[in-house]
Amino acid sequence: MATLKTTFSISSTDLFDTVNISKTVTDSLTIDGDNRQGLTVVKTASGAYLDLTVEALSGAIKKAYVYAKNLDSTDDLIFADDGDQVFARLAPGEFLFYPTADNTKVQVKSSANTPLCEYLLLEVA
Amino acid sequence: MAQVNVTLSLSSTDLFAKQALSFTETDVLAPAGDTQVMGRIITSGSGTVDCLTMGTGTSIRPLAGTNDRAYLFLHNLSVTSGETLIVRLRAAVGTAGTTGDYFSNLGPGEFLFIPIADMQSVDIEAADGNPVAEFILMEKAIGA
Repeated sequence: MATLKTTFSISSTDLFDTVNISKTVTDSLTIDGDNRQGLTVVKTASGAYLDLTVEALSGAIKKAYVYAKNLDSTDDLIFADDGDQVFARLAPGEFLFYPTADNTKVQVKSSANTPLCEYLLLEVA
Repeated sequence: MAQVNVTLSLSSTDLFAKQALSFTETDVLAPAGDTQVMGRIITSGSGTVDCLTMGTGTSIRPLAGTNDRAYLFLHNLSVTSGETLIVRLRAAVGTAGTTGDYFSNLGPGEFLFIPIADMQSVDIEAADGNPVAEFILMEKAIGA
């Protein structure tokens, strides 16, 4: 069993006129799955999806923490679940962090060309 | 156009026997859509879906623009075991997402940050109890 410490901060002084946003969230996540994929960089393509998981996610709700970043400066990365349903799209330089669940895999493809995707995937149980 | 700063830090000393993990990512977002929402809701409970946007012509419009893109920060404030939040996409704002088909599950205290796409809204549903959720939803671009 391992611990992943996370901190996320979001702030803005001009998203709203009447209030400023300034929030920081911290959490200590327990990682006990048998699929721990450390920081990895893969080349994507615009045709078929690339499966980011080296083995199917399992456990009661198939939960895993996923970090991903689009390392490209031009093209988008498109993320889909195991039913090819798109749920996220990273513009150049953008990142995501979330607990995936109810899916055996997380998939990625590019909007064009072959941008690099940096990612980390840690199965929870 | 507004500027929103986000920072994510991840670290662990025991994920891998031979390698510690420690990194920080930052980004400066520029959401420019006509739906910018910050909210806090007491979820309705298991079996009832709470949708983060409303319909066309309301004060909180469906996500729109090319690919319906938006930044979503969502935080489950519960500290009670079992009070998880199921997160599923709502492709068309007038129709709830498919029951039993979700893409994320937030345990008590957990959060997510995703540049979402291809959905006009987001559905959340408590697995148990009535956990409080806080969210910031920032549409990237104006669209019909």
